[in-house]
Formats: sequence, structure tokens, C-alpha cells
Amino acid sequence: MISQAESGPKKVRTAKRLFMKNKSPGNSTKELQNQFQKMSIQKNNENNSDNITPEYVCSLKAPTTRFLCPLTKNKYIQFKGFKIRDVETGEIFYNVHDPTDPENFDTFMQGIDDSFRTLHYQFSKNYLKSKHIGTTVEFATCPEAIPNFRMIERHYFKNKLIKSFDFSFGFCIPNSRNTWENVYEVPKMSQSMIKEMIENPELTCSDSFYFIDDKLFMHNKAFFTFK
Amino acid sequence: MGLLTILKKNKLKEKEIRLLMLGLDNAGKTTILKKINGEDISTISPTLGFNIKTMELDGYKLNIWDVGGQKSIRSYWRNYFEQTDGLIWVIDSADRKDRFELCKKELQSLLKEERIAGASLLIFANKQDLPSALSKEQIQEFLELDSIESCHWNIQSCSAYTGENLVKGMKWITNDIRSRIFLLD
Repeated sequence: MISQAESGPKKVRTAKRLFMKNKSPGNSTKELQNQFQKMSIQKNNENNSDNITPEYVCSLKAPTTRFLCPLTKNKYIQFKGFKIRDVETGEIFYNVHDPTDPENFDTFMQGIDDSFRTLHYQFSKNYLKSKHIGTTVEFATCPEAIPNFRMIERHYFKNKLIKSFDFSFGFCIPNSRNTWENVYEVPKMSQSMIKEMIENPELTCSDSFYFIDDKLFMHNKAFFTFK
Repeated sequence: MGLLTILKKNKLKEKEIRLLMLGLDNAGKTTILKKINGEDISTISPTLGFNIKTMELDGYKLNIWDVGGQKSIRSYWRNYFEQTDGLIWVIDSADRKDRFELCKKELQSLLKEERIAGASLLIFANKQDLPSALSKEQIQEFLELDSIESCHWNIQSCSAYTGENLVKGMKWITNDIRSRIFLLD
């Protein structure tokens, strides 16, 4: 299902979460707890997630302490692949790809919890030495056209913003499969900062916000470790 | 890295350039996009949506949109016209006669679009590595390119498979966009 190139098994397990759900069968108490937790998260967030604007997330100075919208808001896109490469050396730091058709968009978010949208990446140290990185996302879209799709990503180290991305995909064709590769210069970092990043796993992290017509419908978090 | 070099040399006045790459299905749009980026081109499947490349350098941005060319997708092309600085029209130079007719028809209707009327037009006469490929002169005549007055255009023979002339074409279109932007000042 997931084809894997040049990445260790641990890394795959983490991003797999965005493609596949691991429903644990038979554990009814846990399931109920999860459901309850999901409902309360929904209740807490649903009242205000419509007020989360692109301007608001662009003004954030640190990672959020919680997810800013319920999982069930996403009935529009499903991720199908991620790739991270060094454009100059060709080294591939990360590559997962799922060629299968997307699941039913109305129901695919049912029965999952926040671990689904919390990713843990482990990269080689070389990643921090790269000058130009290319990150590719691949996603499938729902049977309806998406009018104005926009993604804003904020990367932090120790609660300090180090890089942000703001990209408008605009229109997405119904039932389409799309890719976006962003090739960018890695921000200049001091040797001591690089050392700190290696020594402090998961203090490098990111918030990814996804909007349709400036309304938030998905929020993912990622944590990075360098080895 | 070819594209990053272009961007470096092209200190554009405009901070962001948008290129739209269109053409019939199987013309080689995605292969061109990957080849100029130094990516593997051995397994490319039909594009059922779009592929975008963004290149960011010193605060300058180049966005290339490759939108699928299958018949069912062509009706959505118009959703990507807005703010296009350059149109790259890709042709399979070894295609059948009826497909060339269709290609001409599609290009002519695109050029009537107000939203892309002012954009620079680069025509990639692709697949020159195939023995049956028509020359760029033959294609220029068949597509009646000389009658185009609405925009700057250029036809470039190329091979996405070998990479021949891809960077040359990209240089032309980014330079042309730059010169147009300067002229406006």
C-alpha cells in the first residue's frame, strides 16, 4: 500500500497515519473514551474554529497548544504522499506514497483521534546542512470542486518562528490528484543552533493550517528529530 | 538545479512569476517539469489534476502550474488563467494528424482568452528525440503561429526525455516576462 523509498521503517509508520486509520477492534471502553474525547474537542473548538482566519494564524508567534479545528471538518482532501529532498545533492530524506484511491470523503475522518494529525519525523543530520530543500505533498480531492484552497505552515524551534510558508492552490478539480513541490532556501542557522536542534528532539515543530475560502478545515502538527 | 540558476540570473522586478503549462494529454508537460528540476522521469502517470513547482530564491518566487491535458480536465483550464505571466504550450511533435488539428484548435481558443492574452507564450515542440517528430518550422507553419499578434511568442524544439533545450526555453520565457514588466514601468 505504502511504497517506501530510502526511508527507515520508523519514519514510514509516522506519516502512514495521515493515509491509514488504525482502528483497534474490540476495545469498547477505549473506543467510547476516544469518542467522548473527540466530542468534547469538537465542542470546545467548533464554536470558534470558524473565526480562525489566515491572518490570525500568520500572526502566531509560537506553536499552538491545541488543534484549532475538529478533525471532522475535513471532508475535502486526503494526503497521498510526502517527499523531502535536497535539490542539489539529490538525497531523499523522506518519501512515502500511497497510490490507492481515496476513501469516502464524508466518512474517512470518523473514528480517528488526534494522533492521526500529529506526525513525528526523524531526519538525518544532513537535512540541517542542506541549502535548498524541496518538499512535495500529494493529495486527492473530494467529488466536489474546491474553490480556494490555501495552506499556511509555520515552523518553530524552541517557540521561535524560523520559517513560514503561505501558498494558495486556488481551484482544485473534483476527484483530482495533485502535487505541489516547494523548493526553498533553508534559512541560515548558526552552528550552535544546529547543535541545539540535534540535541533537542521534537523542539523543532510545525503547525500546518489548511483553508477553503479562508475557513480553516484542517490543522496538522509535526515534530522533528535529527540524528 | 537548472531552474534555480535561471531565477538567480533573473533578478525580477516582480517578486512572483506565474507560469501556466498546458497542452493535450501525453504531450510531456509533467516530464518537462520534472526534468528541469532534476527529478526521476521513469515513472510518470497521467496528471489527473495539477502539479505545481514553487521555487523561492532571495525573496523571488517562480510558480509553474502543470495542469492535466485529458479531455475531461481541459474544461477546468480556465480556472488557472488568473494572473498568468507566461503560458507554456507543450506539443507532442510526433503526434497523429488529427491530434495536431485538435492541438491547434485548443491553442487558438486559449489565445482568445482575455485573462491570458498579454502573457508571454512559449511553445515547446517536444519529443524531438523521436524519429517521426515534425520540425519546429513545420509545427510553426501548421499552427499558424506567425498570425499571432496578441502576445510575444517563441517556439522551441526540445526533448523532455533527454532534457535538450528545456532550460533554453525557460530562459526565453522568464526573460521575456522580465522585459515586459520593465517596459510597463
